[in-house]
Amino acid sequence: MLNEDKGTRAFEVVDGLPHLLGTKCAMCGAAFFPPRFVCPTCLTDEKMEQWRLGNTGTLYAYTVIRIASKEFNPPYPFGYIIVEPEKVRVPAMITGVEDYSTLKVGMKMQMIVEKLRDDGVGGEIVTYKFKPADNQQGFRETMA
Amino acid sequence: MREVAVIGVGMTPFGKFLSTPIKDLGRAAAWDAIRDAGISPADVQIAYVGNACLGAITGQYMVLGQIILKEVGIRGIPITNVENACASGSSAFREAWMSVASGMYDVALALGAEKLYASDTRLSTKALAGATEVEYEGDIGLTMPGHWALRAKRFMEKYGTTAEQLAKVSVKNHRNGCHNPRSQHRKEVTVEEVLNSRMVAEPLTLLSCNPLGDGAAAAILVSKEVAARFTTKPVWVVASALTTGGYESNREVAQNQLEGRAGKQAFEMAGIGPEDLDLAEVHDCFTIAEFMRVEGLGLVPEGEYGKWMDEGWSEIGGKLPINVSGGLLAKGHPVGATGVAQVAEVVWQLRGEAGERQVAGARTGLVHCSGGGVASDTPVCCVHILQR
Repeated sequence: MLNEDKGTRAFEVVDGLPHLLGTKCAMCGAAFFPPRFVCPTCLTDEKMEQWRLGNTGTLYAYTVIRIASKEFNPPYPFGYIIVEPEKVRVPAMITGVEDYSTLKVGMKMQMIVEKLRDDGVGGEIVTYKFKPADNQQGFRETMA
Repeated sequence: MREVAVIGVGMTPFGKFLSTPIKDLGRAAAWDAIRDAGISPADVQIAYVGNACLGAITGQYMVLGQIILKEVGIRGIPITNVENACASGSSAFREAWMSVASGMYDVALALGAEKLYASDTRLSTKALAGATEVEYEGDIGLTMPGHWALRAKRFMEKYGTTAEQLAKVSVKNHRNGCHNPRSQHRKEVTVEEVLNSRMVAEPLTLLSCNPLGDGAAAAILVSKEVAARFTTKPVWVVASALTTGGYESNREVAQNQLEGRAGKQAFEMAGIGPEDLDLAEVHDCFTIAEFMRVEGLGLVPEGEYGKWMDEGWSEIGGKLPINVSGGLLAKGHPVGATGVAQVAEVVWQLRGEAGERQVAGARTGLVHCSGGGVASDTPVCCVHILQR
């Protein structure tokens, strides 16, 4: 089964707010990003639907990558964000942080879409990233 | 299933060989293994050749095994190229083992070869990021050191492991590497030097990461009958296990569940336990990787390897010497060559030919190699147990 009509975009912007585009199994309720088309638990594709994930989350782990391919212009922070409410763990670049020591495990994160790198032919490639949310209400400094 | 013995191994020194083609590295290792076994190239009936990065670095994406092996006069037999990230060489070794164990062939060759040094280091870094799910990881800025840095941060948070304890892995393996003439690094380092070397991805510094490297290694695997004809010192492959990740989104990234699966399978197949091992070569691509893998394999209880580091229990002469060859951190990590080089080390140890780094009376050794980083999990894990 080839799903050319869905799942080829990683994110979409709805009413000015970006969302990751994943899938969800209506049988067991699990959500997936990157999208999967066969549920690894139920082992069926019958109840798999395209799903627009939440655009906020919690920082699970982060690092600052200082040596990388030149197009990414290191250093930059990178982390695993647990996206809410689906609780899907997503690897992503972290942006909007000048002082890296202000990053804390457990802090609230907001998804944004911005430039990743030049495409080498005069344009630019944009992607999803996460930044610390303006409102840190509910922040706990541990994932336990 | 038939018994399978390793009767010959070969390995080039690991290091930076900018002007040496991979064909020459591979030929040297294959030829050394053939000579070590005392066989003729004409005796080899099937071959598997591990490589991971050459295509991305030089454009030689295909048929590397056929190109190398024609240089030692091996032609007209089945040759299969094997890619499984850092475990490409171990996976080639496993395929060779299966070929003989199944009864299909009596003499098989496993070769691993790699050239990672390029004119621009960032090209090598990009090639290695190919061990992630590129579209969703490597292409948006995640590197392999970045993958392990994230897991290290989580590991330290969960178990209270200190940066000093992590650094001691590099100190130990560099000390061991000093006694290995084929090791890329043969210089001791201190905890302070490890911690103060250039930061790659926090908390991993340059000396917490394996160096880029070029090199090759080979092994000859044969049936029991053939082994009896050629050697009085066969080393038996008593277990082989290969597994893949689970990729659950909610799994604990401070643990490597697939190593538990592969380890359990290998120990059951060998009919022994971790307490029966005399040494282990464990895939220490990063200091944190040795921690997570010795615990994952069940060689050390969960959360206790920091104490092992402090007590020196994985040093030569300790409870269970780990990475006596210098490991990937000192000996080097030409990706596709590593798994076969680990086998070569254990074969030399079990034959009592390891010189200054010999583990006295070693009879049983474990070889572990894992590869890649996908969805915060590890996609490949290969374990072999060798016994004399």
